[in-house]
Amino acid sequence: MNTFRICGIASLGLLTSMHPALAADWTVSGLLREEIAVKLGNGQNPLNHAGNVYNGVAVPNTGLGPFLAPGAAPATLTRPASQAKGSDLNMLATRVELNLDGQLDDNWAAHFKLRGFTDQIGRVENAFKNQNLYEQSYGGNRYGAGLGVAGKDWMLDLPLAYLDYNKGPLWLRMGNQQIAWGEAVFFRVADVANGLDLRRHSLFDVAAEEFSDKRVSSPAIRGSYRVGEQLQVEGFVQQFSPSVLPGATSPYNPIPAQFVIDQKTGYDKARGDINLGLRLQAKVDDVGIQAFAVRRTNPDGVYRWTEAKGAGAIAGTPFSAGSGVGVYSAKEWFRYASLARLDGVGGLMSALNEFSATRPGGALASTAAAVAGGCGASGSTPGAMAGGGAASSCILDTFFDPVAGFGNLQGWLVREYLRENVFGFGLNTVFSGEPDSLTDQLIGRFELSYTPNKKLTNPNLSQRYLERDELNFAFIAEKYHKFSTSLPATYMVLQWMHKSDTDLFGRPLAGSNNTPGEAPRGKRGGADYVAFVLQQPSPSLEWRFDLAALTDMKGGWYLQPGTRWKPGKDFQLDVYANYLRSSNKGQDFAEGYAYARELLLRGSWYF
Amino acid sequence: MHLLKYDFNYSRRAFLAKAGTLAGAGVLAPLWPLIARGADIGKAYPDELMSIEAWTKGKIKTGDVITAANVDVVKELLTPIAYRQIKEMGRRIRIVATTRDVSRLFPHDYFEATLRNAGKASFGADGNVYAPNGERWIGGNPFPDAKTPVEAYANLTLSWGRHNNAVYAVKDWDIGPDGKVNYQYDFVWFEENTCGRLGPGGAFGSYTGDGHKDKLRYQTVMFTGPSDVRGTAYLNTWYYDQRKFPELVGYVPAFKRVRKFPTNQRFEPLAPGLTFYLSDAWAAGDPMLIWGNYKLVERRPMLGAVSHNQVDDPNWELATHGGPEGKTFFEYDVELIPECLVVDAEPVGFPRAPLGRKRAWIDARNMMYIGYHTYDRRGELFKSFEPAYGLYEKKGVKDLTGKHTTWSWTSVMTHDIQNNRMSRFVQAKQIAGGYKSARNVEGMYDKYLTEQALGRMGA
Repeated sequence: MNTFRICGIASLGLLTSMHPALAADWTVSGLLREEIAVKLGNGQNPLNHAGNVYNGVAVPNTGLGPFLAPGAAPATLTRPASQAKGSDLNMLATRVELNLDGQLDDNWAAHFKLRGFTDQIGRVENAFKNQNLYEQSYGGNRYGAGLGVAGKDWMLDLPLAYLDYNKGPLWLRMGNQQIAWGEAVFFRVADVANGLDLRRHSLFDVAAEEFSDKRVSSPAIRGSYRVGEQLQVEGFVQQFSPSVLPGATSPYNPIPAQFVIDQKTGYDKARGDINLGLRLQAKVDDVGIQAFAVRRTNPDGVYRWTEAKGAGAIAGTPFSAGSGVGVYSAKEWFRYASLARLDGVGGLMSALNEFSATRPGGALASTAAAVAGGCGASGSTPGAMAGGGAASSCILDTFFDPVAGFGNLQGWLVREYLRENVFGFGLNTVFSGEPDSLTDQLIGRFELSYTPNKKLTNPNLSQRYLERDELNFAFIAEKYHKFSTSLPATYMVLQWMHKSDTDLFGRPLAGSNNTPGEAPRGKRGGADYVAFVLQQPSPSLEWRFDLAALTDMKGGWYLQPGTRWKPGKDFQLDVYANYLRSSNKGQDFAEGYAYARELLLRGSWYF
Repeated sequence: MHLLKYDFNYSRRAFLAKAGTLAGAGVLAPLWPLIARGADIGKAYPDELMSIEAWTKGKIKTGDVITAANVDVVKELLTPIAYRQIKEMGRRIRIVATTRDVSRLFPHDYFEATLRNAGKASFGADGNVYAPNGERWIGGNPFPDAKTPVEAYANLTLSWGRHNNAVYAVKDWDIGPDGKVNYQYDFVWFEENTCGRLGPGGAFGSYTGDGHKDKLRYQTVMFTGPSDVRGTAYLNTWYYDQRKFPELVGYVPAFKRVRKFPTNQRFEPLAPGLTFYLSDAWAAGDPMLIWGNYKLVERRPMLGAVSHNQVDDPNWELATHGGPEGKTFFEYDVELIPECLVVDAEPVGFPRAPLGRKRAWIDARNMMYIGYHTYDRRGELFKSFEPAYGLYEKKGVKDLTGKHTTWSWTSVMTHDIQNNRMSRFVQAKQIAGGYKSARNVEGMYDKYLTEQALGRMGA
């Protein structure tokens, strides 16, 4: 770390405009880090073309093609085996961070962080060769929203760039910043101010680091004022910034790559939105209390079918043909709908009923009606088509038939960002039980958030979003307990989160209990998640051994054992394993993530 | 030829005679009446306690350097770990003259308050120290002539740095058994007393509201470097009631928010490689009554680094020597302290504490500890916490607190003797992040000692 003194910083126009006679103390620090994720199995991300479970798998053509073009139409539909590619690594990244912190005077401070990240996985793994990992179609500089620039395999951004002003009980922070609220760690009940950027190793970094590298910074003015010693009022005004997803064919892509997602249209509609937040924090006796209200544009967004565009688009439908990387069969369609917690049957019907080409009078209306009728659908009237799994399979395979239909099809989605209000409160206290007892210095926390009329993606991808009054809450128990006089205390956290209408990733529970080929049965009573975290440092803290476990008690497990070794002032090595296990019954959070069983190695050099 | 009025064992016999009695400091005469009159404290002690030359029968003189070659001459004047450091690890110390003007061992205002408020403190039924009106303590050492071990510890505990508040910009180096600097940290330590305050504003200043009036102090420690720990900060809120644990909240950069932490794990390093714990601070890092079985073991002369340790380095850093790489120890000037109280206590309020006992050597002149050892549960020596103090003046350059020359600690060496790991740190002029050492800073509570402040300062 290097501290130096700059008198009169002419180069920093923003600052000098506020401080014409500036004499500041600036500190530069940073890190260089190599991050490698080595797969512990052979599984490839099934949501990518390279890992598509139907690559090279012939499935029966259940469509009308063999009847309409006997001898010409294939009896089976097969996704090309050539698309299958394996890989040994999930990530091969280098990170550079530079921090510049300046104390401008008694009241003003400035903070900047420059972050560079490149993943060279495409140079060593054919599965990801020339794939886009970071570029976005919206925002500036191909970065997405925020201050940054991105290429296919690199990004450079300014996650922190703000001024702090403090005088007496007043604190103002102005500029690009993260805002983190809430008692729970990892479970985002009250942590609603920022979305997440999942481009850098998705959610599989060290659990103890929570979302510090993931929260999307936004330009904001955040202020707080202490009223006496026991009450603090805080608020923010923030420009909307959406959560950012990994590239559609990147190692940790979370959405089936057969979809084309229009992110720009939705973003352009919401880009000027302003989020507002207000929080009160108080202490009553030994209990800390907070209450908050946030008016925001949901950064995670919701998805629905949208009309396909560009080459291969089938006009008036949400499908495009001829890409070679679309869906090849009804079987694939249903399987991937289930993986994404979508309704494969309903999704087909809403695609047919809500788009002009297949609605009454549309260019394909009669064709679609004939196909539906031929397939025995219960409703074959354009605009009111309906049917079960068998009929839907027949309709889909007819479309996917390379002779009688269009061949493989990509589905087009639009991601939209909608306004909502989030209200909540939290409590915390430290229990003072008998020395050395379970309740001795046990920290108890509770927090709850309520979002009325929250818009959710409809599992059938209809234009009509689901609307729910969502209630999320979490109980947290934290404890440092000394099991041995020769070791530092063991840190343990037990958390339980309940979500009334969505799962861990924000997907509607209406899409849960999802068997391929059937409409999802949904999940009543909400979803529950339990996490347990344990940290045991060595006496000098040179070593720290971690274990994080997360389960939805429905067969989904995420275990992360690991260790942090800090042998000296400049270097740190992190070795962690990610292990995910699913019941593969269409109901737990870990389904499809077996590919993320990996060993994460990180070597960091600090300066 | 200098004639001794008393034989060499006079002071030893005198200290032994005081054992178990409620006698105060001084051998030939009570010490504190002399100090109150501004008289030479030499009248309280025989020559052998005021002069290293006399004590060693001429073998060691002021200006001499104590090394492995001659340390056995002064073995009795050293803490056990300091002796081992010199005897076995290449440490050296330089002898300076004993301070006879006790006002040079205090911050000016604190010394004045100690004299002004002498005799006004008493223990309440709850074991806490109170002023005559039953209020919190009003300033200075409550027991300048401590006669019991608890009185001595009250002096250490009620005001750590002996100013209304202080910012300590700390540079720390952590040396491994191989003698190399394994870790280096910059951190800033803020402490503010809510009572016993000195100067304008009275003994409680603005800390009279409901939220403050049951408090003793606020204290924040925040790391400013290196970048992996930058912004990590903890705020301790100490109750005046010394039977209660402080409240602890912290800002961990990974979480990006201030969270409540348990407060009873006080025997653990704050960062990798550090060998000092919250419990070690000022030899009184925990509320006084959470420890127990206090015992005044003995009174005895000691060598301590209480003067001449402020150097003229631009950033107030110290030269090093000793150990395998010549980096393990700071250069210290030590003087013969005529009388120290040796106080033991046990961590009765800490089940599974790694410690079985602590021992502090407390200078009877200013009631500040000059050495501090902890022992593991087997009774084996575990760690040493050895501070250096002084007036901040050297070669005509002074650092002022108000109108008076600053008195404060200048450095500390904390040595885990079982693992041979040393953490040594200085009160630097400035550290990474631009934080500068200062005392009696206006507006410190708002700036550094609230949860809001932790959130603002955190990276």
